[in-house]
Amino acid sequence: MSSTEQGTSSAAPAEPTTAPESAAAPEVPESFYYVHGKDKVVHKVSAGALQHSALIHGMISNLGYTEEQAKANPFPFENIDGDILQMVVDWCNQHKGKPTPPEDTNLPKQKEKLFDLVLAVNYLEIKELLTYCCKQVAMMVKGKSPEEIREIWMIPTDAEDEAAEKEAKKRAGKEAAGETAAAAGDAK
Amino acid sequence: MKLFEFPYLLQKEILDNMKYQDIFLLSFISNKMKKTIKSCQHNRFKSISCIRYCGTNERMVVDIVTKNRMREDFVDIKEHDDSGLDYFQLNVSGKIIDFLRLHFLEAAFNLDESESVFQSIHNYMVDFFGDSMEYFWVTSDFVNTVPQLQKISSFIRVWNVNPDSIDLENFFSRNPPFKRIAFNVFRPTDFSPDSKFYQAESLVTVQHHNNFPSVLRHFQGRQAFVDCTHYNTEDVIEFVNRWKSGETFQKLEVLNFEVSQDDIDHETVLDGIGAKHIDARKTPPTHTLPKIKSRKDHIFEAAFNPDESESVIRSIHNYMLQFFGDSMKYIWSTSDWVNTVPQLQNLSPSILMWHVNPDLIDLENFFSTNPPFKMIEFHPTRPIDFHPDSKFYQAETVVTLQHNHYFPSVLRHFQGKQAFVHCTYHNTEDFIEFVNKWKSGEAFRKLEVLNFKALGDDDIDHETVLNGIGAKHIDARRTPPTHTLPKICDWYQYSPSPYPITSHIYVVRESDNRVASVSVQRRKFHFGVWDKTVEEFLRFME
Repeated sequence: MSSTEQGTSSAAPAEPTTAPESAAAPEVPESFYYVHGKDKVVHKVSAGALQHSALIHGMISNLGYTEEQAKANPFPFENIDGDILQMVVDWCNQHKGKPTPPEDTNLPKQKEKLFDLVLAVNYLEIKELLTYCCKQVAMMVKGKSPEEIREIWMIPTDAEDEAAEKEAKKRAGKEAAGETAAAAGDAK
Repeated sequence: MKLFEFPYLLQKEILDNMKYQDIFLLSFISNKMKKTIKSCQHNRFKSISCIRYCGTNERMVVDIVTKNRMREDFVDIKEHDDSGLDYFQLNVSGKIIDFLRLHFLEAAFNLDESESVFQSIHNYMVDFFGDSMEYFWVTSDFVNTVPQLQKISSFIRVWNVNPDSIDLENFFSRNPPFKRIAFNVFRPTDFSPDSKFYQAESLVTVQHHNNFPSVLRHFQGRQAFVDCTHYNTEDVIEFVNRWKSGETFQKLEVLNFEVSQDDIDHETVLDGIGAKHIDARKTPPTHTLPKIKSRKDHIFEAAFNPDESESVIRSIHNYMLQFFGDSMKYIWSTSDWVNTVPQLQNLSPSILMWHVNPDLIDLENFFSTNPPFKMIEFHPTRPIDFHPDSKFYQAETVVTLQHNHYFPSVLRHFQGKQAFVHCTYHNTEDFIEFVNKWKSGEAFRKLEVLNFKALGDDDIDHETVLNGIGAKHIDARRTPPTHTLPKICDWYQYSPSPYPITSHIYVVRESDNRVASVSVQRRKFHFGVWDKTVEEFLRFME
């Protein structure tokens, strides 16, 4: 679990080094950053864990924040639900500095959660997790009939697509007519 | 979850993670979906090397082979199963076809419309996957005609075949020229010089006891590989001189001719063909050609000399055992009923014996020289019985189709677990004898399931059978449990699955009180043994 400002856990202790003392590089304290989602719950995450996210890694790589500055400036991800961000942070922590396994069985099975997770992970550019998520989405329809697939992925029928297209055209026509009328009004 | 609300790249990533059979079904959902697939899977489809239909006209398994040599099962096209399976229908290129999703995608046809079903599915695939890959029809069915499908190359393997039992001349005249023919018959066989047999692009033939197969007189294709026992010097000379004169073999690229018994008379042949010679001090160029593609081009090959095949196979097998371990199944799947199966550790042999003529092969001896098979699929050209102790009856699964036969002997002597029997006729007494032998514990101790289907017009005499076997009945107001079993040969997609039996009728084995459900419906007789005593069985209904 990640540590949160509201939570009880404190910052993770520095990783003990296993190398002989004489050969050990000078210990660099791990830096931490803070993120929050739509629910404003702030998650403290190590820079190592955040390396999974190409987006966040790019943002923090040149910031040079001190611990205090980082704490004072959490990264806001208002487009991501709090529980989804929690899942992402957990995943990044679990896989910090580790090779990612070929499968991840801990992903949510509920359709809507998975949908939101895919969008969040895509936004945060976490490539490996995105691959797992997309596999999971693909697995949802494995062995299903077309009608079952339609239901699971809510794919419109041809008739529904045609109706939607007509509607869009009608709307576009109306908007164009409105713009023309407004332009004519302006000209007068 | 709305798939179309994902950004395009995510849709692509999701589709990239789907199997071809799922993508294929997805394409039927809407035109927009189909367009999306074709657009974002364009590169994936371009990585397909070929799509192959493998099997017979009665059952074709379509698979997809990619350019990096990965193979994926795609759809199994086979005869409609009338046992109440839950088919769904799709409009495939204007034809409504029944499909089924079990562990594998299946498309079904009624026997009188198989060709149109093949055509519709094929047309859809050519439209869907595009025509950048090759389409192959790979068959060993030399009875039915290959369906006329666009952009398809057909391959046939006519192996261990008796030319007296099949009108091969007629077969080749009814089909378009094959891309490749593998041909091994029991006696020398010539076709009419105009036969389309000789128009195959590539011909591989083994003809024992033949001096010079006619293929070397009439071949019109590009590559011929001929093995025979003896040869005539004059024939070789004639072959070359006809090529030199331009009279024949206009398209020929290569002939590999091997004679097993005689040495070719080098001097006489070279004189006879008016051979020219390159200065011996110079190095002649090497003639090489890519071979005409075959289904095997897509897999890695290991080679052996004929006298060491068993040791090579054993070494590879032992290596695989060490490498992959023994937690998986190792299956020897063959249709070779001439040679003995190698004795390898942890190996389950299975054999397909279609169109086998018992008058030409000593099948009794064949089974006695082999270990019991895991599965035998046996379609003899005439009814045949084996010695009651034959290892034929010790196969775990026997699938047999025996035309013009009354109740094959497998139902008297079977010692395995699952039997699937189709034959033309039936005798009521045989069913009664079968069940009573099971009930008394005299035979069929290991039996799990028998699915019998008569192909003739006569229905099984339901009443007489039930009286004769001393059938017991579950109260008609109660719902009986369904007897289901997984098939033993789950690795072999062609093998049938045991038919689920939901029946109010049952019998009990005297020795251990075990129950078997019995179902008699018109021309079908199903018998499923429960791993339950009668008390446990009846408790299902409480």
